[in-house]
Amino acid sequence: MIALHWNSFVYLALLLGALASMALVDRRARLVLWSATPLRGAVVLAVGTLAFLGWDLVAIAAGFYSRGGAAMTGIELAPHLPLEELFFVLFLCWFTLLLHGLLRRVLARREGARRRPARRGALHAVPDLPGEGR
Amino acid sequence: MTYGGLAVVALAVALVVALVVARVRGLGARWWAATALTGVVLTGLTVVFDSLMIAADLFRYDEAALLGVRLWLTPVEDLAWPVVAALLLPALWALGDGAERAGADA
Repeated sequence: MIALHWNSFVYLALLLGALASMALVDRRARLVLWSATPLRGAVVLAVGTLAFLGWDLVAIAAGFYSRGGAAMTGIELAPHLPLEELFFVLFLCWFTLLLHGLLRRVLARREGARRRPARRGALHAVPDLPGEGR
Repeated sequence: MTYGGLAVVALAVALVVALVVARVRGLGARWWAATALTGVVLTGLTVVFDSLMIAADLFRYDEAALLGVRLWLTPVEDLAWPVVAALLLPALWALGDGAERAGADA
């Protein structure tokens, strides 16, 4: 049953807002879909998303958890797997990649700054180091 | 199998993937440090947001399938999610290194 009350869309709207925020961060930091290798970003996001949905399907089939009753559209991808979960796991994967990418960048710059202690302002001046994308 | 058993299986798979990719791609201390920090941040956020999602009744657990240990409302088994994410996603990203135009890595 698809209820069309405004509160049915609260969770979906929050998730779409979160995904839009990820897009803004990604576009600014150029780390995943706005990196030099956007196809790679899309494939990694797709594989990660499918992995978590698989985890959900196994857990739901085993009866470990089930869909609750609130704030959702009622649209299901599979029994007890709400449409919203697709956007949630996509958000989780994207957020993880952005966070990891930003941390790699910060750590690389700190190492660069340590190697050139005499250069003031090196924290911001050091360009991305080779291999930083790893 | 319990939900905890499933979490352990997922953790084991993610850890093996991360270890193999780290070996194949020659990922060093900086990558592991970033991965550990990512895991810590995600785990903290999971305790907060998983609890809020449970409080909002987005999903319900079969109590009999849980260990019964909770952080706020978050079952401890759910903490496997952020740890698996922190291991798996960066590893998949590193694995894709060179798959698309070599040297374009950013």
